[in-house]
Amino acid sequence: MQPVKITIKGDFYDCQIYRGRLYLWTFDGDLKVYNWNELVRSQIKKDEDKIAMTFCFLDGNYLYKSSLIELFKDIDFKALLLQKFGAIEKESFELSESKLNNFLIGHQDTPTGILPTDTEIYSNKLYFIHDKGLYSGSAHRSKSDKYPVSSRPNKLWDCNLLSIKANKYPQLALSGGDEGLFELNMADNLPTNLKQVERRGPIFQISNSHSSFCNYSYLNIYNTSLVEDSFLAMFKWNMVIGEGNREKALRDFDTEIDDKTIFNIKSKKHFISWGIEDKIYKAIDGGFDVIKFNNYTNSEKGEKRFTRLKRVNIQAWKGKIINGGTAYFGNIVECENALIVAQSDGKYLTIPGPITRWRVYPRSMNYENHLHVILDDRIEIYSFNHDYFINQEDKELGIQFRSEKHFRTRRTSYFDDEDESVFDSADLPF
Amino acid sequence: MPYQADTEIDLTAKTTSNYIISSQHRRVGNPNKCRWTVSFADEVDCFINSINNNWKDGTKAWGMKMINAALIVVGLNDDNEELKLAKFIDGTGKNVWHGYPADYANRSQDRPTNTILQMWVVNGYISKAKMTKINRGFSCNL
Repeated sequence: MQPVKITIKGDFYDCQIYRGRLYLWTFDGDLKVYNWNELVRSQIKKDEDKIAMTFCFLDGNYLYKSSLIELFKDIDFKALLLQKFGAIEKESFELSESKLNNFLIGHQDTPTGILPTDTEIYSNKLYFIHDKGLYSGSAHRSKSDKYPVSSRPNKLWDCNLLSIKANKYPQLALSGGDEGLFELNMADNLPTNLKQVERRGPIFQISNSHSSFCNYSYLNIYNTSLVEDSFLAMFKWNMVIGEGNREKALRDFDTEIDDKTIFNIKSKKHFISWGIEDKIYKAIDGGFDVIKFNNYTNSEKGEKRFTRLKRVNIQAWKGKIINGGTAYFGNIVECENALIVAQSDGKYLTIPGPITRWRVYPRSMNYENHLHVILDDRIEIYSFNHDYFINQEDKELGIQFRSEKHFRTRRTSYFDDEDESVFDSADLPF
Repeated sequence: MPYQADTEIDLTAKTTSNYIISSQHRRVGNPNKCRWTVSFADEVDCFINSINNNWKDGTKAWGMKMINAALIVVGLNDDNEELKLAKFIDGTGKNVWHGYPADYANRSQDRPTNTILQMWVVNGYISKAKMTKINRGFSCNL
């Protein structure tokens, strides 16, 4: 299966997708928010393509339902679905800037007037960073509001961060370069053994080791440094007695495991590694190695925490690996000259550079199968749909899908006929 | 008259600020100090260019040296890695600056601001893709 792609022409700098809205930052400093659902529907030329387009771009979660797995075992049903996806793979979906305007919800200057270094949308809030610090402001506002995103964001911290990454619990990991690794923790119960570094908000220092970017691996944070050793910052639940003599669980810091220990390397030579959820990856000359991380090891049964899975080779012309990420559909590896998707079905997609920015949304409710790539004069929005047909337990590339959506989420699918306003509360797990 | 290190240079004929060539950033083996590899004159020209183009953010400024539309190496870091950007600081707030090659990939404080990087892209000195790499601390071939 090939991915399906929507191309939007324009001079973009960053992007986000959240609850049916596409957020695009233009290079000249505008933030434009579009009705993504309407945009996708406008690209459906034939009625028989509606189902496939919806799964591709509006509900990437639906086909992971465990009840459908039995249906996929039926050869005829699987063939029909593959045929549906196959029909739209060959289509070309392109929008010019003027056509894109048909779906505009709102348009404003980027908050604070400075292009962001990184952004995240979590629980209806936009978090962003640049050289002046970390900010947050309301997002996904009512269409009657003047601006789709708050034009007066709150400054949470003045550290010059490199990257931010939200968890599905209310935490944001903050990579501060040589300042270290930090976390904005918005949970009700805060850690007891970490130093709070900002009085304005619950920002804690996890480590003073260098942090270029990071990602969550269950409760833990995999910290990647492009200049020093990377490491897995492990956390643990600490049960304490709280008010009213009731037990409460605190997520406390446990220990760091450096990448040389994880990969069993004796050499002092620096290498890049990154991790998310159940997999950790190590760049090597000409490729990368994949390690499975078992967070729930039972040492009495002899289970190992880290197990080497496979090696993936990359063609030399693509250059050395400078950045990596993972989604359910596979691994995304940014090399000096190209972006590579090593898919969970064993196939590869290469997107030649220069790449301005790319994003995946594994924490998302509906867009887990998306890859957004900003190139010089356009954004390409890819949808990968092969992973529904892969055995998740045996998968070597990509995050293993487990159907454990947060209990606070009532609506689980784009197809569910639920009132969208249930997601307007400030306490969402995505 | 040739420039001398550690002496305030009056640049009023060329720009709005004065400059000191710091010998700390010229000595080999000075720990944690990046060192210039271009001439004193090139270092000063780089500074003048930064100020005249307003590549400033308060008491900090960033610059580069171009020859035939290509950025050239202006210095080296502790690991002898080549550096093509420069940082300038008005340390005392009296409009007397000094500078050093900027090791943006290893030191947060050496990263140019987003606004200055954006200006460089608009003027064609670097690409949008290189801007985002510098912005996020990734080394790249400038």
